[in-house]
Amino acid sequence: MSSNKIVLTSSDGESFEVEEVVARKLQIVGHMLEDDCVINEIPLQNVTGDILSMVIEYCKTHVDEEESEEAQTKLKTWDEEFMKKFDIKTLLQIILAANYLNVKGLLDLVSQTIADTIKDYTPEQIREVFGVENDYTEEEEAEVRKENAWAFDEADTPKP
Amino acid sequence: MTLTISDLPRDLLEKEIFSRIPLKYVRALRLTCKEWETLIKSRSLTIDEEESQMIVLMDYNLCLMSISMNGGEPSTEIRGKLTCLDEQVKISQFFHCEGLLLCILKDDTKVVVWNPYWGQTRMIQPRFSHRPGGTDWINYALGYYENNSKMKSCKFLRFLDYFYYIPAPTKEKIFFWYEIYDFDTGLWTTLDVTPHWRIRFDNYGVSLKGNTYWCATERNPADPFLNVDHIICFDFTSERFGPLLPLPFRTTYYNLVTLSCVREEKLAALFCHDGIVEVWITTNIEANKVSWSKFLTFDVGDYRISPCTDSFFIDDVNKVAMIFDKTWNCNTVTIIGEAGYVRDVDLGEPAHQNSLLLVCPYVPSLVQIKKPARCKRKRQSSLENHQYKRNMVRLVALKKFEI
Repeated sequence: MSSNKIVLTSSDGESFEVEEVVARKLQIVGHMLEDDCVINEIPLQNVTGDILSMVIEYCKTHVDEEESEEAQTKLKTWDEEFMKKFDIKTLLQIILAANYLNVKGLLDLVSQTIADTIKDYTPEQIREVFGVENDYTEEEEAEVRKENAWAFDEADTPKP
Repeated sequence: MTLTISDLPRDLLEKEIFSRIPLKYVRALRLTCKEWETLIKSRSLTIDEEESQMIVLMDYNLCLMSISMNGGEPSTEIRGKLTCLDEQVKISQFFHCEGLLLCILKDDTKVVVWNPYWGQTRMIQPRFSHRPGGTDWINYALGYYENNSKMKSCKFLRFLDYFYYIPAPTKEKIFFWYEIYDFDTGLWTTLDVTPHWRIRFDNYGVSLKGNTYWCATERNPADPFLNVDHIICFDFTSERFGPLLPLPFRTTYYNLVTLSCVREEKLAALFCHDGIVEVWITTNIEANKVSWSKFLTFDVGDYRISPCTDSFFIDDVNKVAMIFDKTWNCNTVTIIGEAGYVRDVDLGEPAHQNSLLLVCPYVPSLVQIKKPARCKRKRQSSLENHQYKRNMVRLVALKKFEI
């Protein structure tokens, strides 16, 4: 059964022939296969070919997740390297795709990568990097800043 | 059209991305744009009915734990470590009051007040400490009072209250010192109290609506053993202890009674006796009156529940009690429910034998920890200075008799 091939077609008409075990990592596909076993071509409306190819690359690598510590470490390193390849815009496209195709591992990985990026940024940097519009008026922003204001009492700050 | 982060579905943004950002970085998110501010504010203020959160102290570290009901089967999950000050800081005890934590450090006499949601902290250096053999004999409580404009003002109470049994020719057999710290003024005040109660030093108070409750008993110098048969409230508005309030059951010396609070609305009492675990919840609670109703009864049978439980958590919606129990080789949560439901969750082997396993329900709060007004910091009154000096002399004299 594992040698069975499935063709996944992206919204822009690109087709990918993958092993069924790989395709099943996309839970959306897994559910379709359970409903009707004879499908061998699946159109995926909400994802373009270039993004789908990334998702498939992830699924192929993660197809047999071994329990051994060594294998886990190797996968983790691969994940890190894999994420480094993408800019923010691509990461956002991948997160949407992972959500739509229901690839839990990839969704977690991309979400964590985005979260880690955000946490090191100032509000100004977040706006610039992620293309968020600043809709605060100056007064409103000052108000939120004030509400968040906090300074340590220097005398009480513990020594590092 | 370029895809931006604002185009992501709200759910994806909130549940997958924001939820992974540690609380101390959330400030930048709030300042980014109005929608995020709304999203974050609503996250902190809504209680997810499917899931409750608690803070657990284990091996001198605090962590956030969630409990969820999956088809009637309660499960717990450790969400992550909460880092106060820095990774290395060990916390020996903690007290909770509406999203604020009072942490007692293990290797430092300073205490820290902390809002884990903002990551704000404030260190306070107490005026005295008492840790014979490394055991902290001081009781702590965090609370607040509402001023005229309904603003909550935070205070903290600490006291040392114990009996000495010394054969030596000393007149002093009792020592107590109750003092309160005001976060607005940064001042300590010795409370003028004559305790009619006794509270064990290892009895942890529970804060509810700004006041703190302990298990207590009537003061009787002739009887050194403590049969916990009442509770008592410290009212942070009047800065007074109330009368001893009844527990809904009869206790003896050998029973275990522990308090907890339920959704910051009610007090719960856990009572273990003769192979039965009872949980009672208050139907009405004030500083000077209380009424109770029974929440759960569990027949232990052959089931092991150790009699040294310090802490428990109540989920009154799903009708379960989670009893946190530490033995020499195991940290366990025993979940009990209706109709004899029982299950153990193993939290692993304790790394430190003397560390406590404590839990409290937690709902993040947006309350700001005030910085003391440095420029107009008031000075202690001369009366307070006099009391301080007098108490210190007595304390130093008593410390000589310590074994």
